[in-house]
Amino acid sequence: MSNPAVNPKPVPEINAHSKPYWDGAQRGELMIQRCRGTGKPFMYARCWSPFDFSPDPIWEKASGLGTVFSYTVVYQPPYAAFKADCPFVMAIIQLDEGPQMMSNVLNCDPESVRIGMKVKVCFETRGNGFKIPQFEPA
Amino acid sequence: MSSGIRDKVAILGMGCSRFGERWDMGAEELMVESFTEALTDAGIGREQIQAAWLGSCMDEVNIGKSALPASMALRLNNIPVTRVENYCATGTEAFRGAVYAVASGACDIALAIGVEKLKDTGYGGLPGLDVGSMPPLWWPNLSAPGVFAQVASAYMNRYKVPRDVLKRALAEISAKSHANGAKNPKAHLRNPVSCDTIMASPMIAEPLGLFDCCGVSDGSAAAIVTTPEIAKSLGKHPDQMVTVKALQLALSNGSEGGYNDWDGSYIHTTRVAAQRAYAEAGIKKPRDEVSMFEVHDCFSITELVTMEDLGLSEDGGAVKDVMDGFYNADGKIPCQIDGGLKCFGHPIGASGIRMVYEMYLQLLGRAGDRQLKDPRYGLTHNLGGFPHQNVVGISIVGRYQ
Repeated sequence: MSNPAVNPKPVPEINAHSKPYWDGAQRGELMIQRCRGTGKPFMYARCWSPFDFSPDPIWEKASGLGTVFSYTVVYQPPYAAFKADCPFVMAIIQLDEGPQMMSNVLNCDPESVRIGMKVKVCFETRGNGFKIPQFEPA
Repeated sequence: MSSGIRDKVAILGMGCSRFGERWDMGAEELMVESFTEALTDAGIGREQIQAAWLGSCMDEVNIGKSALPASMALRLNNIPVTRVENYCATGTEAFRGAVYAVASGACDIALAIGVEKLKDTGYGGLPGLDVGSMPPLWWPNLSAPGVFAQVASAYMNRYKVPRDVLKRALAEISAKSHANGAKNPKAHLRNPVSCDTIMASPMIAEPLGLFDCCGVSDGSAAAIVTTPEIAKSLGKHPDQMVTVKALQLALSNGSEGGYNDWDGSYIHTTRVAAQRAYAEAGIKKPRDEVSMFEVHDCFSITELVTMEDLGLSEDGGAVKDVMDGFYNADGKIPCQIDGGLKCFGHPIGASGIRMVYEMYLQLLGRAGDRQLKDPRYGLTHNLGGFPHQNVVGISIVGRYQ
């Protein structure tokens, strides 16, 4: 359970199969996985393919480019730690490679975001210098 | 080949506590409140119940993970009691356990009871579930209003609905539920609220404002089920008997979120579960045949798209139906006649059974000031989780034929 009073903003818990994703983010790279059987890329990190259950999916660097699939502007923060960011954009990003991921769209007027808008990955630094992938207008 | 659930199980009695901020009671007392009403309604003693299912989801303050609190609070007679949990569709899961137990012939009389003491969690909405490796990767910035607000954006984009038009329709949905809830003595929120007030309320996640969000409530609901034959032997007249016509559950398989063809403007699993439920109940044209609906209006936009996902409004047509008053208390198909999650309230584990409770009262002509004229079938739609990853439980109940 989350602590509703969590502050500062949370950093992820890293485990063995999500480590390549977070290591990539620390290098400034957005990492996705590709199924060895079907060749299809996917998010989020797994130790087998969700398409054919083939093991050991390939990690690769994504282009970092994508499109806003849907979005909202959040005025009421889910946790106190996000209060200073309000209003912020909470969006589903469709990566150019195909998979979707939820993210924030930073570095723009929140009300300027639209479905279909082109975005590119950027990295937000949280506690202890930890970087998490975010997006901004391309 | 399965023959479905239709008319195999009758509801012998139901109960529902008053929903709201129940600082006066713990979860155990709330269970006793709904259970005693159900027992009295059923006209049986608690020793006649042979198995029970408890639904609870978020509240681990005084409930815990086993089914012991129900067994102990209700002084059940060392019978099997099972606790189930499936996000906000938990109540329907408890009902499903009891109904299937009776249908299988494993027991004659079974109890489903759902409870949530949500206020004791000390949180304004639903606490986040952010353990494991997926949530930090896929929803690091998620709020419940936020993900449903994303459905609103996708819906506006797909059907080219101007923002002001959608906002007005969403306000009509909430105003209708407030008008209905005002007539329900057990509802949490009992004040009529105007569309102007709703549209002027503080923004939570664009375009959803405060009055687009359902209540956070404490409460409990219970159902006692048996076979129609046993119900008759216990004195229930077939004309005054409500039976289960369909009971379906559909879960996301991961295709909506992550990598898919889903465009974010509807709930896929509702469509799957609804079609299965209509087939099981033998309903061909739900818009003509089903008299009333209790749907999972956690947010006003959820109710709007659910009208399309259930096949009541055409795709892209729900805004017009809402503005025409089609789903109002005096409309063709009343929806949320008891106030819905919006105003009756949403104690997670109880909500699915609360929906069936209202359909049951309406079918038996016991719904007081909000009684509808001669309803035939009632449908409940219970959604747990997020638009892209969820659990949908649907039941259809009606008079025994």
